[in-house]
Amino acid sequence: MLNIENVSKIFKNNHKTLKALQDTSLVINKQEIVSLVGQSGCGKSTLLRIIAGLEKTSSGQIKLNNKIITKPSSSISMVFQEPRLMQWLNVFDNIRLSILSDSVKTQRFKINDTLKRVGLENMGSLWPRELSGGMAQRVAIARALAMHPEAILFDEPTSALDPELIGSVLQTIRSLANEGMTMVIVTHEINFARDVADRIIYMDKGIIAEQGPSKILESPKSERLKQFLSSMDEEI
Amino acid sequence: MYIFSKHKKINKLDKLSKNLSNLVLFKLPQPIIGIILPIIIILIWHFLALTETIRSNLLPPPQEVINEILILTRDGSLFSHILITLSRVFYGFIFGAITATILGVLTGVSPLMRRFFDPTIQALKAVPSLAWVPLFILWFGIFEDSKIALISVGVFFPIYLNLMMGIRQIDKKMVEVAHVYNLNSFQTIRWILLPGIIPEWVTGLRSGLALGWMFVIAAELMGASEGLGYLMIDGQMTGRPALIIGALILFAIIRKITAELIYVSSKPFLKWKVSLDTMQEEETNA
Repeated sequence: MLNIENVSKIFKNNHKTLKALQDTSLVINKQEIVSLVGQSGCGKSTLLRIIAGLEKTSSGQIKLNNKIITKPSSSISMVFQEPRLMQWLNVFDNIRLSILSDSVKTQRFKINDTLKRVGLENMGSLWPRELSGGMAQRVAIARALAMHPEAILFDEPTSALDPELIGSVLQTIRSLANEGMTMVIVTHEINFARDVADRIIYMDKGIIAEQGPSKILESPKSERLKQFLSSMDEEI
Repeated sequence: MYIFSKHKKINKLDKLSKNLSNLVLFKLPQPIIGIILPIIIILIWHFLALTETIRSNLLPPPQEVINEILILTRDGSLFSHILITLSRVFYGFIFGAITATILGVLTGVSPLMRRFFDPTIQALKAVPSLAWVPLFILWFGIFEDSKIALISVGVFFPIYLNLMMGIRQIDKKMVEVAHVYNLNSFQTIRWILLPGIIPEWVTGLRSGLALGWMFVIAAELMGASEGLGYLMIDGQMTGRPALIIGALILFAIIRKITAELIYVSSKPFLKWKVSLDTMQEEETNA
């Protein structure tokens, strides 16, 4: 279980302060799929980075199974907006990065297993430059999966992809959801969030403005969520 | 608009390159294509010497140069001249490259080290290389040590600069991946920093070696009793242009071989990188 307790994050730069998160509290249960939605700059990516241990909180704390986490943990994995594959490592070694402490035999087993799970069986010897954007992002997902984390965080995993490549990545995430993986997904794909998430959290100006099951997207209570959804409709 | 016209230019260049590739000449194996121009130059040179367009005491015919090299080969001295020049470049390159690699990695990885070392190194870089000669002769004597020290200085700067800049330009996002997956410092250096900077390091090594060859000639011209640079000075003193040209040609050939050695040995580490060079090579092999 992931507990986010009264977390605030203030960025200070050249005497300017930006309140990215304000006193945010949230509980994410095991095997739950939570989708964070909201306008750019609303604090959803900051929250994700704090959970991943990549940013420190200004106040408040994050607990995983009642243990406070302040730095990246082997129980939480993250998939970024871009695949972030090392160009100098082939697919096999890119996935290996997340399980370097395992024995070579275990590494080989886990890598082949995760490649199969993301639909890229027998592609371990390819270089990142030989992959399409969608395939590269699936390798990034395989890298996150290989370490057998308790939860995976997705930070807009399809926003850097061409429209025709999005489907394969969403399909991979959807199959993970069916397997019961705990996931926090920041996405602009509202329909996908509605389909896959157990709970939708709408963030606005660093706070959780509204949350609930996916039906809140059909009948939003707050005016701000209504405006957000209509702006998404206009974009579509 | 700019991008469009640039794209058009690239297309034109691509077409031109393809048309040229279709010529029978360019279908020959690479090493043969590479020696066509030197053969043409030798033929023109031979013609100029034969017609006495240029006086033979200024530009001797090619066969005279070959004779001069054969004389030196027969008495066994050519081999020792080549060997001494090679060993000077080798030791100078090794010392320069090791120092530059250590300092390049330190200043690239640690901002504190960069603030400590880099201003001094940059100031030293501004000193003209030949200005070190008197000091090195004073410190290391007139024999091998001062020459090796001078070559090391030449080799040092390109490797140091390429490496430091290479490490500093590594994408912070990649280091973040290392954090997410709990890589320790050693693993981050082994899997992310070092392989990521190999292209810059190899560029530095190649530039460093080129400068090393320049500096060995400078060192040998200033005072040596052996080496290819010495042969050039000897040829000048004794009025033998054939010896000077012979030494020049040998110098060029050996320098090219050593540069190729670095290129070939670095290739397995750079196969992930797609460059215009790789693409053209792949096309040729296809």
